[in-house]
Amino acid sequence: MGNFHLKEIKSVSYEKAELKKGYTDQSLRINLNSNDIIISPIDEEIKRTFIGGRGYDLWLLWNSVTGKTRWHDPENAVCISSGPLGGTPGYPGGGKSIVTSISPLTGAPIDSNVGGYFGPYMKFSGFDVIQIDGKATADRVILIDGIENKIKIFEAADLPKDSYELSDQLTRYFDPDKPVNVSVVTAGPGAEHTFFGCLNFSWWDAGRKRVRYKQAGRGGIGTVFADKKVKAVVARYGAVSMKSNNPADLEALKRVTKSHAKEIHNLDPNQNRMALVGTTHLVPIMNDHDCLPVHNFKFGSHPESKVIGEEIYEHIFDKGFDGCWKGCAVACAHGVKDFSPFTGPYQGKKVFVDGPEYETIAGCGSNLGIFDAHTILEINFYCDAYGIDTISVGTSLGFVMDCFENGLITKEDTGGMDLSFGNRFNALTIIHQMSKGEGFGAIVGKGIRNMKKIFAKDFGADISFMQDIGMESKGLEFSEYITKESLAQQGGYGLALKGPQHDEAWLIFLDMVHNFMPTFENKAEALHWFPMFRTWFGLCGLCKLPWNDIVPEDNKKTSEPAKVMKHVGWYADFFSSVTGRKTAPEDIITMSEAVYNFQRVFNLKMGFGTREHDTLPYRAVGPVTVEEYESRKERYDLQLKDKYSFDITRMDTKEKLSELRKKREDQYEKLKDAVYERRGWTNNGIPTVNTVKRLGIDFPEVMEVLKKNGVE
Amino acid sequence: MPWSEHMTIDSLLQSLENVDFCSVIRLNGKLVSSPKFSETKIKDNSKIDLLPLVAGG
Repeated sequence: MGNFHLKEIKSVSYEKAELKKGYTDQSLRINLNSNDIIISPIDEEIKRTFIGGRGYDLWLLWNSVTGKTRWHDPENAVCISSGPLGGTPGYPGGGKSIVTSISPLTGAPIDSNVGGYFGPYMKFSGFDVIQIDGKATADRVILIDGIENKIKIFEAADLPKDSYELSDQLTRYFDPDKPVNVSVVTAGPGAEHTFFGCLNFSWWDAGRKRVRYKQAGRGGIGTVFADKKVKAVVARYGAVSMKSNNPADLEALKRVTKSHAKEIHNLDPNQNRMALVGTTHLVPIMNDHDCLPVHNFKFGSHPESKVIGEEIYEHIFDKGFDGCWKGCAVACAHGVKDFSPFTGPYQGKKVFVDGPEYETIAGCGSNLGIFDAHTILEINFYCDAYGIDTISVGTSLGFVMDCFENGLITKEDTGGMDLSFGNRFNALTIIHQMSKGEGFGAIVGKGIRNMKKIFAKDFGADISFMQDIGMESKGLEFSEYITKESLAQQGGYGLALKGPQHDEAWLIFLDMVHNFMPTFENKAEALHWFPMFRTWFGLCGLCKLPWNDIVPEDNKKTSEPAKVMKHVGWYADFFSSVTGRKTAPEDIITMSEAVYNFQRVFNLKMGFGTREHDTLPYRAVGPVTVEEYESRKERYDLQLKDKYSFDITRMDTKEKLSELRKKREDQYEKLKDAVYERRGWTNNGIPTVNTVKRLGIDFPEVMEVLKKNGVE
Repeated sequence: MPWSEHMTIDSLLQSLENVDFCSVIRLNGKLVSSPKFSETKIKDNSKIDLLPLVAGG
């Protein structure tokens, strides 16, 4: 046990609310200015409209901030909620937590969906959602103890700095006899010094007898958490069963849980094998379809990618059950034991690495020209230990390396480091610098949008070129897919509420490979249904992977295989059985629509949320450089000739680049028009009065925001 | 499925129904993606699994 000190400064005993149909109907607020602990009821209208999870988070956050609130203001809040279905043992992906805050990167609401036991444990302790606001003057640890029915705030000293040690020590401290009863949320030193700090959510791996971690990665919520001087939030709860949610129809819940779990258990071994390889199977698939980011999204494939995919990691991953929720049949949260880093504070020691997943491999591997499975593991480990988002790290470093290779920045600017693609040692050095806020790493940690300004102002770099190659939108770094040949996925990224993260819509194969949505209207329909359906997982406390990564054997014979309607039906049954609210598949879309449109209006409240903010760097749309064009010359020439009727015989590559760009940018604007119309938004991307009324989110404060923006 | 000497993934899929969304298969455990279907030959007694529509991260 470490030599840290926790001094109790506030303790409140409470009577635990009885769980009813997946809800406690109570929220918990911790105000760090006053150390107030406030328990409040959640009324029926809010429950009906916002469902739970991300919906509850957004409602509390909306009421905590004004349009002028910035991420580091005390009134900004970190909100965490599972959802009415969260905490169902045995239901695949049935234990997620959703976190929201105003993002340091985007200035708007950000949401992140994460595994680990925290959300369910907090709910079973009596609270559907927690809101942490204010700012402490010294380090704090917050305990929600659902066994003792107490909430405590501690002043903390001498805690381990990194998430890896901190979660482990706090788990053993708060329940040394039954560490499985504890889940810890922590940030890390990187969160204190970057804008893309993540949160580590833990669970106790009973088989390996160690703490494991998943990350709420996107948008810098860990940075907000660290800025508030919260070192950890701990939930403690005892045994969980299918009765814990006090479902409306226990037998129906058991039936649907058994059906879904059994199908995954039977079919995953012959499909994506996620219980063995996680999401690493995507590396060779994306590479073969020219969708794997290589060298800052310049290219979509690389011959060396074969050494960083499932064939390698399957043999490296430690064998054993890897569910980030109790009894999850997907069990994809793999890790590597006895890994020995070759740099940094853990150099030469043996550590357990939680990961890597596809996004980390692609972002911190191929995108940086690093084709070495062990270096990727080391980057993964330190990003988690330092509490920084591997996606933003990978995409930001890719941008830096591209700038370096193009001479926009030099060794004089980087502290003497050669940051050419493939330089794994210096990539790791930057990550270590980020954890301390030192050197060039301190600049990289501000994210791409800020780096573009700094590079232009301080180093004289070409701003327009950086706009083209800096893979961010709305201030958030792209997740790891090449979208040049999929207009629908350009929309999936550019029109996503929080910025270019693939959890709203992943349409590349439907669009690019299968040509399933040839018209703008087809694409707009997909960019309505898929984001709405996927939003629902975050409202209920669920993971999306069991929906469409393992599918029924007869799915291909259905009229809309991409929607996996058999599973959608199961989810409707799942919701009905727990909440007692009779739900059909189409109701799921309506539930999500309300929260989705509310978040769009929230963006508007914060000064964003209009057409101009749904823009993309051109590299997400088409080839920026002559090198890129020439690398796929046959493809682009053919498009100019056949699709756009150009006579290219006398055109040089620069002319072709220019003409292709005009066409592709025009297509993206037309896509925006079609999607806005389908979603019931104005041509400027704002929900209309009719839309918010139809969805029941026409609260006076919502109408006021619309009116301020010319929508009445 | 009877095997023939010049059978490829592509030719095999053409003989099957409801494979419009098949862009990745496992051939004896190894992933093969659609750009390589026409060049990938199938040996006798091979085990082939059709993967579901790729769903992304």
